[in-house]
Amino acid sequence: MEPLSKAQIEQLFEFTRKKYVQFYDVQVELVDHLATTIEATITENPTLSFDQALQKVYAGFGIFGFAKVVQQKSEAVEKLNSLLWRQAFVSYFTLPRIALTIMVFMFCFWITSMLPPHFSDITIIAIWIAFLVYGIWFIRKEKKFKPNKPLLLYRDPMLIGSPGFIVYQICISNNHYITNPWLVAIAGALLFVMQASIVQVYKTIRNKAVQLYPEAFMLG
Amino acid sequence: MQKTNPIVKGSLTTIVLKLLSENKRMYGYEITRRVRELTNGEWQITEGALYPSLHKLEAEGMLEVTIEQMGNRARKYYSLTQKGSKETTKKMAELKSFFEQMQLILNIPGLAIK
Repeated sequence: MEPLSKAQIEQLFEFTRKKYVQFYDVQVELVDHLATTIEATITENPTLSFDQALQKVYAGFGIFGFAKVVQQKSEAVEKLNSLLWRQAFVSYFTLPRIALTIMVFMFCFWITSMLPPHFSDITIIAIWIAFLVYGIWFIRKEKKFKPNKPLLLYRDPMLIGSPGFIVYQICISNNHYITNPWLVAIAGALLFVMQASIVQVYKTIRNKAVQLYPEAFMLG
Repeated sequence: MQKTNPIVKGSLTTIVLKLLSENKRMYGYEITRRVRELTNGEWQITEGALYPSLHKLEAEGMLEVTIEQMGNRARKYYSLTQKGSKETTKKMAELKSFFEQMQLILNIPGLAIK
């Protein structure tokens, strides 16, 4: 079996792009499949040209072509992200990480109890600023990992700031702030868990993407 | 255009899991070829059915992927996770039970389920 040339492989990448497959991670798998099947098809029938073999192989993907593969891959990625997020979230309510959650809860409770009631808004604003600063710092730090080829697997770290945004929404939608230390402690602990889970999932996915598709990142 | 037999399509997850349990790792085309070989060309798994199934299993944590450079292109290999191995055993037991019940109903001559 004669392997396809580098130029033919590039032609296959171009073919997937023309068929609206914009994500590099999907293209890689499709190109290998097309190439292997074309090689086998030409071996079985040497009179077929590369283009004829390609059209024959593409027909195997049905009337929707690559669209179904991309759509279902997209759904699978969403599902995987949800699974990872649920696992990360739950991990902060089980040993050993629950210790961290309890510490954040106790800190928020202690600080709200210590300060006079009208100072609770300062606590909430401080939590918001802390989340916001962390979110901005993290997003800036992660810029170096931005892929130069779009990946379905990879997400921009924009969600990292979302817990800070939730606190901001609470601040602007309430004329009077929460003064009950239990409520502040529960909200603080939950926001911490959300933030920590989002960061953890983002890092897991980013590491996986860098490991599987290093050529898609500006690392080298 | 080829279409995957609906019965085969319904059992695709089990087929993929079983093949991966017998082989350390496989790539997409290899799975379609193996099914064709095992069934003497009777069963064809189309790409449009196989890849969504592989991606779904990966999302459910049943499969893990590695990428290796093969000549001038990258190849994505699938292998079973621990969860995937457990699921394979479960699926095989379910399928065996299904065939036993079907045989009780249909009583197909010459078909013996061990």
